[in-house]
Amino acid sequence: MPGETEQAFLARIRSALAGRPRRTELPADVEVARVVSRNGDLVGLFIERATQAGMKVHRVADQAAMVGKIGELAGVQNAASALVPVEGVPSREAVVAELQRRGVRLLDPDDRDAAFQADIGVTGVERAVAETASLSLVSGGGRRRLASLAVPCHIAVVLASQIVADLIDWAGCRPSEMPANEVLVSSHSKTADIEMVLVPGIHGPGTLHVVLVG
Amino acid sequence: MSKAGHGAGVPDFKHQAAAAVANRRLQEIFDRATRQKDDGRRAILPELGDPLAVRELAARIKDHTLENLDRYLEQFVGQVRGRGGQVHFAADGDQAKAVIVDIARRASAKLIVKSKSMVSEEIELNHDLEAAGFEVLETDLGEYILQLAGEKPSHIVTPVAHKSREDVGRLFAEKLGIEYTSDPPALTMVARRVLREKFRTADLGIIGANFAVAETGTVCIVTNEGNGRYCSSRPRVLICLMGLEKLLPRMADLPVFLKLLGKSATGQRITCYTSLITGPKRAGDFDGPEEFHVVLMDNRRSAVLGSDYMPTLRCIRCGACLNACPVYRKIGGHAYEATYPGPIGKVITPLLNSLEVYEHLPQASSLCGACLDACPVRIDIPTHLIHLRQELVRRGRSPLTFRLGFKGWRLGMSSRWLYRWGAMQARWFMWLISRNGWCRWMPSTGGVWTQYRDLPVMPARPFRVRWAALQKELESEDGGDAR
Repeated sequence: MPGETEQAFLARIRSALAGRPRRTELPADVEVARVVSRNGDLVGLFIERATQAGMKVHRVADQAAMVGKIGELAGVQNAASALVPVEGVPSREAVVAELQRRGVRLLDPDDRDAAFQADIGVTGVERAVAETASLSLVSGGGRRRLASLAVPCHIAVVLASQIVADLIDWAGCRPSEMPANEVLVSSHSKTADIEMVLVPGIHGPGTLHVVLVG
Repeated sequence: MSKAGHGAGVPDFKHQAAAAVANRRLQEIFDRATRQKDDGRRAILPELGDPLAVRELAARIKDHTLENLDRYLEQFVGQVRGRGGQVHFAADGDQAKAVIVDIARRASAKLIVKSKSMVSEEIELNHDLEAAGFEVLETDLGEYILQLAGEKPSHIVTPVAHKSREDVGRLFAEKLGIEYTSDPPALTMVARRVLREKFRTADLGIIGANFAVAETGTVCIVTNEGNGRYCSSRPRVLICLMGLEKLLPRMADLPVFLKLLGKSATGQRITCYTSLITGPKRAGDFDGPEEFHVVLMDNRRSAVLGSDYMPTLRCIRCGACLNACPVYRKIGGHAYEATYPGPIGKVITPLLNSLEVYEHLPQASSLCGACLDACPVRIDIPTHLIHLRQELVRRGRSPLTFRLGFKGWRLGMSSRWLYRWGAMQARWFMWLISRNGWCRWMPSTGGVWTQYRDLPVMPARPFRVRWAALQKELESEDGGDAR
């Protein structure tokens, strides 16, 4: 293999640091960076900031209403086809039935290209962050990484109980094992590379609906 | 970073800068682009409550990581391997490129999609991949435009800051065979169509790293467009090329930097997509890369590590110092002839390359300090620039007249009488060569200075004399009373 050995690489770092004083104590005051207190109106803040970030937030009372709302949104988007991954979507069976009832074609989640063909992608989230209106989506099992990316319209289901206050809480309340991929989705896809003109939907979804339950 | 890619020979900073200043369209575009981002940053930073405290915390976390970098690198490498990833080590850019070409060959890759990465610009990775026969596509819209145009980035966050919509329209019409349009949304959608098919069919993805977490072996990239997500999710093989300074100790440290990065770079509360990649896909996962490679690159960073310039390794490449810099705003990114332009580039380009080749960069600053004010990790760029200037003098890289001038200055400033005598001589001399109260020309080294600046003639009555007179006047007004 080209490149150099780990030993040679690390030896150079060690010799660069040799004789320098080291502060081995890690800065422990990460809380200095906290913006949102855990005690506030997290749902209200999440809705406010998600709306500012260009998400379309629809608050519903329960999962039954959530199912109806997703069907309604599929209609609003004129969706002919949908990708609903087999894992991670609350009340998945009911969502699938509702979409089918409305004549939306359900694409085979096991087709590697399904996300490139679907008009909408429906996912749940692992957690949401009020501070930045971020949706945390993780990979694994029956989830599909591209169901929230390659579709022109992403519909994410967020349960009010999943909302944490601050990014500090998001980093703190995780299982010990990281998933292979986690993404914080904090807005729809956008670019301003040409003369700072903001254009939505460059690579990922140009539209992001959040159905907030509870 | 080799000099070859930035035009052959010695950088011609002064002419490049003068040409940029004379280009009115460029001035308009750059002024708008930099001000918009700078204003956005100022508007949103107060959301952090005490932004200075957060920035100082970020600086302390980075300093701690750098001071203990050997340990954190070992931990990171162990964690990546523990999750099935492979780690490669590269002393310099050539080794890094050889490693990546080798991985691509073993993977029998044909089509490579790349997410925007300044470190790959630094080593001119695409050149080697293309020479080895691979099709490589930049997928960030700005980088894609540059790739089509065969140009270099002019900004580390918005790389086509120098191009007008008409430039992009003409480029797309020529290279992609579309009908000419200068409508940014229409042009963006053209790029979307082309790149979408590339994402779908690519077999190798290359990303950089905004951060890497030692505790978990995670690499973190942020993009607004979503191209980083595609590159790290779809192709069968994923390579992350990163400089060794990107590490953070724990997941708990990451929020501090995510809070600062988007706000400092573009005035966003947070970047649209933050991807955390921890190894290849797991057993039972439907999608994700089967192979995950991390290429850790030194490329002279270890030489900076133990030096007085160590704090420059805190840099998170947000570009805030570029947007805030009065020099960068006027001359744009290309005049620097360096991968990293603007204030931070003026310090790290000589450090990562050669101070002699880039001796113009430490001088290209008024030392106003706007960069330090803007920096989310509090890098004292003006002080580093002064130290580089001192280093240039020590190495004898300044003209004799310059050195004699400062020797004379030091002598003059060492005694009250010499100072007064020197000031009087200077005043006479300036009066002789001036016109309408301004000196626009000076002999010898002074002429280099007045080539780009005018100097007002020193007043006939120096401040010292006027101040004494004013004091006397005030005293007599007060009737000699103390207050």
